[in-house]
Amino acid sequence: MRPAAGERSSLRPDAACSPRIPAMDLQRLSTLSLPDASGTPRRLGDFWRERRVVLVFARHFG
Amino acid sequence: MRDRYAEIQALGGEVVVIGTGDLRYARAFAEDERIPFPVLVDDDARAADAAGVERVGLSRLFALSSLPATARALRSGYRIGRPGKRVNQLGATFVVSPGPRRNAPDGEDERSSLLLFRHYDAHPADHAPMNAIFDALRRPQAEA
Repeated sequence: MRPAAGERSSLRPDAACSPRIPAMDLQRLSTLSLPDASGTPRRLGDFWRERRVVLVFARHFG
Repeated sequence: MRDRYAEIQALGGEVVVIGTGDLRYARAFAEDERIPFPVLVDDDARAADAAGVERVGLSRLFALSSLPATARALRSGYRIGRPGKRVNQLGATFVVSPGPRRNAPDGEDERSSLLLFRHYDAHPADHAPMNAIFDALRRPQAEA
């Protein structure tokens, strides 16, 4: 799957360990609610409704 | 990311971190590290699955290709503090932008989303290059 128009990827298509390009469902991601550190549910799409967001999936906290 | 947060905000952006640990870890992390941006918990991997974030086997977790970056991180003082539930889940970084407004069938004003940048970590010591993240943040709206 090639990057869509407007999207740039730093995926390494030649990486021997990971030849597949993951599927990203941004619409579904936008509808999800996750608790923040205080336990308050936060809808992901609300974060990028009006501004650009750097969204980081971390393997661990700290 | 915390160290570059002021620059990201100056560009009108925000940072959101999603982790695999539970709320206790998220709360401790946010307090101990004085994280100024939202820290969320993806306990059941719904967000990771929607984002296409990989879970890998031991061979990828401990790949030889990751050793140089791991060594650099250790020399820099980086340590893993609180491992999450899914230690085999790699990291990923995206830049998401508001898209064009559109009228939904029920008459409500809706806004789509655009993916400007994505990076899936190839191994645990891999991370998205900051210059590429900033390029995406700076990209003019017409190009987004």
